[in-house]
Formats: sequence, structure tokens, C-alpha cells
Amino acid sequence: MKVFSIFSTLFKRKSKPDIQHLQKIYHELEALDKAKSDFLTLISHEIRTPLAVINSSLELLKTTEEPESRSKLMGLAKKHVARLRKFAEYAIDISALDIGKLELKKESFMINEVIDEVMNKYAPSIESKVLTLHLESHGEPIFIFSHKEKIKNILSELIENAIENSEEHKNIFIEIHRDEKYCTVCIRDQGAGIEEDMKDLVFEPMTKMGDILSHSKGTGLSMYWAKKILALLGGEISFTSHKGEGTEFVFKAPLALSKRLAA
Amino acid sequence: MSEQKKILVVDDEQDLVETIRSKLSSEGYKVFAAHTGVEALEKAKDTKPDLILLDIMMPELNGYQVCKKIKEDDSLKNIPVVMLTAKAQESDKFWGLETGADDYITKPFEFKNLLKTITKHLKHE
Repeated sequence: MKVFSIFSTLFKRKSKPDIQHLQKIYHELEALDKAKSDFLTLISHEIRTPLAVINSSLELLKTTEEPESRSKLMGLAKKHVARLRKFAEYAIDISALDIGKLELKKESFMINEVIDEVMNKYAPSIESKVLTLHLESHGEPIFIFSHKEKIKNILSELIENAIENSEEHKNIFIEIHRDEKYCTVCIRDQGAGIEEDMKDLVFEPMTKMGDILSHSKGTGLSMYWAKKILALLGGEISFTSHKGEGTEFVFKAPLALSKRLAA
Repeated sequence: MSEQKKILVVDDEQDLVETIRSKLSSEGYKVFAAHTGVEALEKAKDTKPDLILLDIMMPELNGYQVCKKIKEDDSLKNIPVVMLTAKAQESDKFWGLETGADDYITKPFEFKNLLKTITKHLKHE
């Protein structure tokens, strides 16, 4: 309201062209204000929701004696602590990237090992939905030159999304290829696919997705973060999706130099 | 509890629905779950719950829209709706109550408060 009254006062004093300019600035400020408010809503949602699961799991633990139920509740609490930790990491990375202050130390490592690790991590979720995971890697193990933890997190996001989007008894396919310079990893599900009008927004931060109240969990920052991190690491990420048939995410990462020369 | 009361829990966070289901079942309530706004309206019509716990930020229809539809439907409008949400500002609470919600609880919450609110609205039925 204060901004509005300042501009209202200015409008009275200015000639017509100036008023148009000020109106433009006013609308830009209004849009910025909405973006800020949406961002705070996102932060609140992404923090309060996992906290609610953690708190309710811990409350239930106080009165639960059966070992299997206790272990399930502990698992839930830990899962949502990890979700909070991940959100904090993404927000900090994005903030550092925006001001050009994120430095990632790259190393050579075997992508196949990281994929195995992530697959093991998600084995219980895959089993509980009776999904079949097909891993296809061509030839010998592939070494990439990148940041191992970030690549592991990106792979985790993609596999987690694929599991979440899959109905029971479906398949998830992971393929690893290489060419002279890059390693390519494709992760394909047989889920519902991405709506046409959402395709342009997949790699945007959630605050650009129109009605923030229609936000669903998991779409907050992760894909926006993944695209930015991969670009910083000299790679890229893209996807193709067909309604009713599924979605395939493809990411590329540079091969380790010695392995590139050997190719 | 002489007659088993039915509660519909609506939230797209399945893990939270499961913990709430577990607590409410142990307190003697019959619990139904929905994970989207559209599913919430279908389940409300099918099960005619005694109370609805409703999240706001959900895919398809958001909680405000669901609440408005419930309160406009003659067969559902008397069911108490308690908003259970991560939106914690006063203006959010205002809009929740404005769309016809009977109460508003912010996440994270204590089961003690949740149960107290449920009991309060079921007594008023």
C-alpha cells in the first residue's frame, strides 16, 4: 500500500509519457512482490510439511512398541529429515550460483558405481511398488569428470521421480552410453507423462508455475537446481514426455580426460 | 466411542496421511484418505464423513477450492472442515475461514491439539 501511495502521488505530478513509464515500473514492482510472496510460501511449505511428518512420526513412536512399526516410523522421520537437508542444500546452491559464488571441485569417478549406489538406495521403494528396474550399460565402465555428490543427488532425484510417477508393476529403464566427449544417462518411466502446458516449466523454479496453491510436493526446486548444477559442471539435462506413455530424462556429463583420450 | 465417527484426511503428502491415519485409528475413528482435491470431493460424496481434514496446497483443485465446493453442496455443507496446512500467515487463515472452513491448524502440529479440535467440531454436529 505504501508503494502504491508513493506512485499515486507521483502520478499526479507527472506528464502523460512519464505516467506510462511509472505505471510500467509499478506493475514490475507488483510482480516482484508477488514472486517474493510465492517464494516465501514455497519455503514455508517445503519446511513445514516434512517437519509435520517428522513430528507426527516421533509422537507415534512414544506409544508404539511393536518393533516393525517402530522401525517404519523411524524410517519415515529419517526420510523427511533427508528431504529437509536436501532442500536446504538446493536453496544454498542456487543462491550461491545466482551471485556466481558456487565452486564445485571436480574429480574422475565411475558413473556405473554411482548408479548402483542410487539403485540400492531406492531398492525398497522399487520393491514396495513391485516395479522392475532395467539397467543397460554398454561396454566397459564409464569414468566421468564431475562432482560425485551432486551427480549422485541428480540421479537420486530422477530415479525418485520415476518411481513416484510409476504405477505398480511397471518398468523403469536406465541406459548409460558414451561418445567421444560425453557420458549420457537416460532414465525412462512408464508413468502418466508430463502435461503439455507444464513442459516449459519443468526446469523453472516452482514460483513460476502459475497458481502456487496447486503446487505438489517434489516440484519445488529440484529440477531447477539440477539444470543449473549440470550446466556449471559442463553437462546438460533434457526430457521427452508423451501423455499416457511416460517420461524420459536424459543427462550428459563430460568424460574424464584420460578416458576421453583413450576413446 | 459409541458410534465410530468417520474422518476424511486430504493431503498430497502420503506419509503424513499415514501417520494421521495411524493416530486417528488408534483413537477409534474410521479414516478415509484422499491425495488430490478432485479425489477429496469424490470421497466426501461417497463416504459422507463426519469431519474433513483438508490440506491447501494440492494438485488439481487446491484446498480453498475444495472447501468452497463442499460448502456449496447441500449434501456436504454441514460437514466440519478443518484446514491442516503449511500456510501459516494470518492472511492464509483469513482466506481459509472465508471459504467456509470451520477451523485452521498449521503444520507442524501436535496430535493433542489436532484431537482436541476434532472432538470440538464433532460435539457441535
